[in-house]
Amino acid sequence: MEPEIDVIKSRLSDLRVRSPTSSTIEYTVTTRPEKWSRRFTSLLALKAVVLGVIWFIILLKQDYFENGLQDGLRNLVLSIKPDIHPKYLNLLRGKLHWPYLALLGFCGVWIASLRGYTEESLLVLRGLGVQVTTSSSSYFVKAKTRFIPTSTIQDIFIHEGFVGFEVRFYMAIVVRDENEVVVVFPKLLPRREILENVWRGSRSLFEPEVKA
Amino acid sequence: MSYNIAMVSDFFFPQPGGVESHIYQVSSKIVDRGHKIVIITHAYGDRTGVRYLANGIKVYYVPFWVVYRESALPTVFSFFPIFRQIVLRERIDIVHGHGSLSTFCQEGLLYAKTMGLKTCFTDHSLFGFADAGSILTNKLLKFILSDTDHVICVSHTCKENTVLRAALDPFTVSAIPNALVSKDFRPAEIPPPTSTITIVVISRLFYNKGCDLLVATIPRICAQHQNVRFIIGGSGPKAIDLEQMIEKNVLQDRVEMLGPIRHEDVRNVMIRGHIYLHASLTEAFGTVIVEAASCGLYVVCTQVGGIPEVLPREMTVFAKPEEDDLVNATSKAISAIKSGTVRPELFHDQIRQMYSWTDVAERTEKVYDGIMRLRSSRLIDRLKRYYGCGVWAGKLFVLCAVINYLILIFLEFWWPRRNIDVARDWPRKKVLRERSPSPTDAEGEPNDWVSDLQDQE
Repeated sequence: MEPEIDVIKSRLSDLRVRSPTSSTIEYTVTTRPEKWSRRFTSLLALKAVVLGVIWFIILLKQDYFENGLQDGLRNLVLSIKPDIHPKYLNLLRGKLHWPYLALLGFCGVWIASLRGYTEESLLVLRGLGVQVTTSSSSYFVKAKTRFIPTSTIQDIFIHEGFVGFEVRFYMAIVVRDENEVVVVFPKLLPRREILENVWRGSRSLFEPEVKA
Repeated sequence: MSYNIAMVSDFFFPQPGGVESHIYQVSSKIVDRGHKIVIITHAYGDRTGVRYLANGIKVYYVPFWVVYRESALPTVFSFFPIFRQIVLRERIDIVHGHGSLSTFCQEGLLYAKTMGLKTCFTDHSLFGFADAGSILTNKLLKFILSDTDHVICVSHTCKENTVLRAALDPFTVSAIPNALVSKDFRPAEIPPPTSTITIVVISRLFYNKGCDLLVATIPRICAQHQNVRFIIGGSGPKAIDLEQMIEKNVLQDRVEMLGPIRHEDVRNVMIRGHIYLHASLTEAFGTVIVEAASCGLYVVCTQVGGIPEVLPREMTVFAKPEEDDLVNATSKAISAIKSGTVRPELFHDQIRQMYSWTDVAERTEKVYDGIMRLRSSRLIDRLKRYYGCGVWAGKLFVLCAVINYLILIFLEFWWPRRNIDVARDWPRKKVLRERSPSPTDAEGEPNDWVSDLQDQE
C-alpha cells in the first residue's frame, strides 16, 4: 500500500502525486470524482437508472412470465387511467425481435462501461525515462501509454498554445529525431500551477541518482 | 505605475514593413520603461501560436484566415473569444491598435471597449475622401474611433487627415513621429567623391510613390548634367516603366536598377550616393528620407503630406509634385553639392538628436498616462456615440455593439474568468519616470531586472 503523498485540487481537475519508491514519481491529473462525493453518486445513480430501464424493457418484451408482466402492466395502466387510447396500450403488447433486444443490451453494457472521467498520468522514473498515459473513455479499452527513455528526451517545457477558441498552457516533451513534441496530459490540459508542479518534479529525470 | 499593453495589428514581423518595425521598436522601448507588451497579430503561414521576441515581448500569432494584403477577414465577432482570453490571461490594461486598414486592430479596439479597457490607436497612413474604398474605410474608422480614448498620428498632416476622416475632437489626437535606429544609418566613413554625383532612389515602385514623375524627370536630369548617375532600389509594378525609360533614352550606364532591397541593406546603398530623390505623391511621414539624411545624403523631395514636417530646411530641397519643379530642385541640389555649400555628412548627428525610439516611447507613455486617468464610459454612452455616426450606419454600429456585449456575457458564462490561467510575466525592468539622460538612443543601459514573480502568486 503506497501512501498518496499529495493532492492538489484545482478547478476542473486534480493532481495526485504518488511516489512508490525514492526514484519514481507518478503525477496523475484526473477529473475522477472522489468516492461517494456528490458527483460520484449522481453519476452512479444515473447509470443505474438507465441500466434499470433497459433491463426492464428487455424483460417486458421477452415476456418470461407468459404474458403475466404485460397483462399486469396493462391492468395497472387501466386502473390509473381507464379512458386511455388503445393505441398506447398496444405498445405494451407483443414481443420484439431478438436483434433489437441484443442492440439494446449492448447499449446498456456500453453505457455501464463509460468512465465518465479522464485520467492522465506522467510517471517519472529517475535515470530511466518517463511514461505518459491517457485513459480511454471506456473501462473495456486499454489506456494509451507511451514510454520515452531519458536518452531520447531533449527537453521538457511548458508553453502556451491556441486550442479551439482558447489559449491554454501545455507541457511537452521534445523527443530526439521526432518532428512533433509529445504533449503531456493532452486531453485535460491542466492549469498552470499543476503543470509547474509537475515540471519541477520531472527535472529530477536529469539529476544523477542519489545514493541513500 | 506600470501598464500591461496589448498592441493589436494585422501587420507584424515576419512580414517586413514600416508599421511592423514601428510596432516592434516602440514596443521594445516601452518595455525598457518598465511596462509589459503583448503583440496580437494573425498567423503568418506556419508561424502560429505564442512566441517571444527579444526584451520579453510576447507575440500571439492567432490562427486566422487572411483575405487581402495580409489583412484578416473582417468578422465582427469571431475573434472575440480568443481576444478575451489573451486580455484576461495577460491582465491587459490598454489595447493599442495600429493601422487603419487592419481588421484585427479595429475589432480588437471594439472588443476592448466592450470589456471596459482603455484603448489607443495609431494611424500610419493618409487616406482620400472621394473613392469608394476610402469612404467605406472612413466610415468604419469613424465607428471605431468615436469610442477610442486617444489617437496617435505619425505627423501633423496625418493628424489633420485622421481628424477629418473620423470626425474626431483634435484634442484627443496626438502627433508622435516615427523614428529610426540612428546607429544603423551612419554616413560613409569616406564620403564618395563629388566628381560624379550619384542620386539614390529607394522606394516601393508604385503609382503613389511617384514613379511616373521619376520616369519623366530622370532623362531630363541626365541630359542637363553630364556627370550624374542614378541608383534605383525597390520593386513593384512600376519597375517596368522605369526599365522602358532607361532603354528608350539609352541610359543603361547611368541608371542602375537594383531590384528589391532588404531593410538592413538600405544603408549600404544609401552611402554610395550624394542626393536622395523622393518623388512620392502622398506620404504620411516618410521614414526613408530621415534614413537618407541620417546616412549623410542631401534630400530632394516633393512637398506633399507630412514630408515638410520631417526634416529641417537645410537638409532638403522641396519641389512641387510636378516634372519641371522636380528637375529644378534636383539641379539646385546638384550644384549645392558641387559647390560644397551643404555639408550632408553632418546631418547624422542632427538626426540622432531629433529622432529616437526612446523619445517616441516616452511620448507614447505620456499618452498612456493620460488615458489611464480617464473614466471608462458606460454602455449607454458608448451606444449614444455610435448612434451619432450616421443615419443608417449609426443604427448598424449600435447593433454591432449590442451584439458584442451579449457575446461578452455569453463568454463570461461559457469560459468563466476564474478558469482562465494568468500567464507569468517576463521579469520587468524598473519603471523609468525621469527623462532619460540624453535624447539619443540610450545604449548599454544597466539591466535592472525586477522580478515580479512573487507578487503574482
